[in-house]
Amino acid sequence: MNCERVRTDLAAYVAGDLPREARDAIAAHLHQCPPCTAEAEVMRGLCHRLACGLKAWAEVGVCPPDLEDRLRSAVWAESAAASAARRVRIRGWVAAAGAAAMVACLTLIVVPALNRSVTLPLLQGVIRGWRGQRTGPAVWYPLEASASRDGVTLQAVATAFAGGETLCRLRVRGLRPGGGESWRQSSLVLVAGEQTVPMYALETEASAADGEWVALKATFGPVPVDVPIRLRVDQLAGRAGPWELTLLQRKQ
Amino acid sequence: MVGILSLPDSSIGRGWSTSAEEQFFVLLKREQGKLYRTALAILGNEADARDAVQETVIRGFRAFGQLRGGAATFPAWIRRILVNQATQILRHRARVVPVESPEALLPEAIEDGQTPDHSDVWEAVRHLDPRYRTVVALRFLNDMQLEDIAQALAIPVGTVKSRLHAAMKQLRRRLAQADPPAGAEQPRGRRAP
Repeated sequence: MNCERVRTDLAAYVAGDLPREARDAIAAHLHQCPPCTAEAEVMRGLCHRLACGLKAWAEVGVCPPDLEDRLRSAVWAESAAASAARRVRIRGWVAAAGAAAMVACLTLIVVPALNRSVTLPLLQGVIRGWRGQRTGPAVWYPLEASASRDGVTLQAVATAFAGGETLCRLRVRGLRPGGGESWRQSSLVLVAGEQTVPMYALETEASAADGEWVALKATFGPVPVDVPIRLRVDQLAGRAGPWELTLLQRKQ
Repeated sequence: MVGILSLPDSSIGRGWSTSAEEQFFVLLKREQGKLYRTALAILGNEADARDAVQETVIRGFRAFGQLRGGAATFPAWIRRILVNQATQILRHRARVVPVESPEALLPEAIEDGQTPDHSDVWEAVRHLDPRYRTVVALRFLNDMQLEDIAQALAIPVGTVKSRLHAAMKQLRRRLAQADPPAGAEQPRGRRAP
């Protein structure tokens, strides 16, 4: 084995990654070649410096805040999707005929502030979701989301108070503003405990990019912490999906 | 701002009434910075690193129930998932993207402001040709054997070996240039990206 060949494999040799035969051949060469032995020592030091340096550099790494938000959102979405899928399966066994009558999509977005958005996948089927599950660093503790002939009701508890208004965003397919069915202010009702929370504003918007999707944004007053709230949307009664319902608390 | 629950190590896997998400978040919180940098070292750009970490977290959470050994095994376990994910991205990139110039894949400046020691090593590594940098990251940051690297990248072992050799030659030169002459004061701060 000549020096050139040995030095080509020297990094792999000192890293301990060569098969026994090649390792023995290089060891034999090093035994009788001082320059290559010196080169091997340099390479060993370099390997050690790289391993220590890269590991120390990675050890003090900080996850970018926006990525951290993305990771949490992804886990919640995964968890919600799994829970919903489980429940849909169970419901399918219990009441297959009834469940097939309505296909709805519900997305519950649980975020502490408007500037931190979470997108959950659209979930097919009637969802009674997230009972008993905390949702990490979120302000909402959803108890139940149900759809029936009387409309859709979302029950939740605010576990933290962001200080601002409560916003409800509803995206529905098949409604166009200014034509056909219009949305009544009374079709969205938010009750905290026994008190009806006043609605400040109701806006409808549609974007061309969304096709037939129409977004409805209702702004309610703040809701207290640890008091069960119910958001009822009458006009979704009997409506086939998909639709998305989002609950947000504006940070003050 | 609402923080995640802080659980003691002993709470993991011992029947605490915390949800899987909370347990996962507590363990992830300690590792996510390392995961991000590991992905950055392997992939060489922030966008791919972010995607790799996100996909890793999703896969990790799906398989979290199968994790044996509790909190102690989580770091190595989630890192394995990350390396698999990152090398999958590299294999895909190799299929669809011609070899790019090193400049095109240079990572953006790390903005976390926490690069105290050993940044000279990373500075030298990050300026390598992407093919060399990947091998160096997998070998020295993730302790993968050359055969495993070859398998993960779907390239021959000989190619891995020659890339490692070329990388070491370049690194030796770069680190020698970065080192202060004997007796000189150690320079502070980082090089501009």
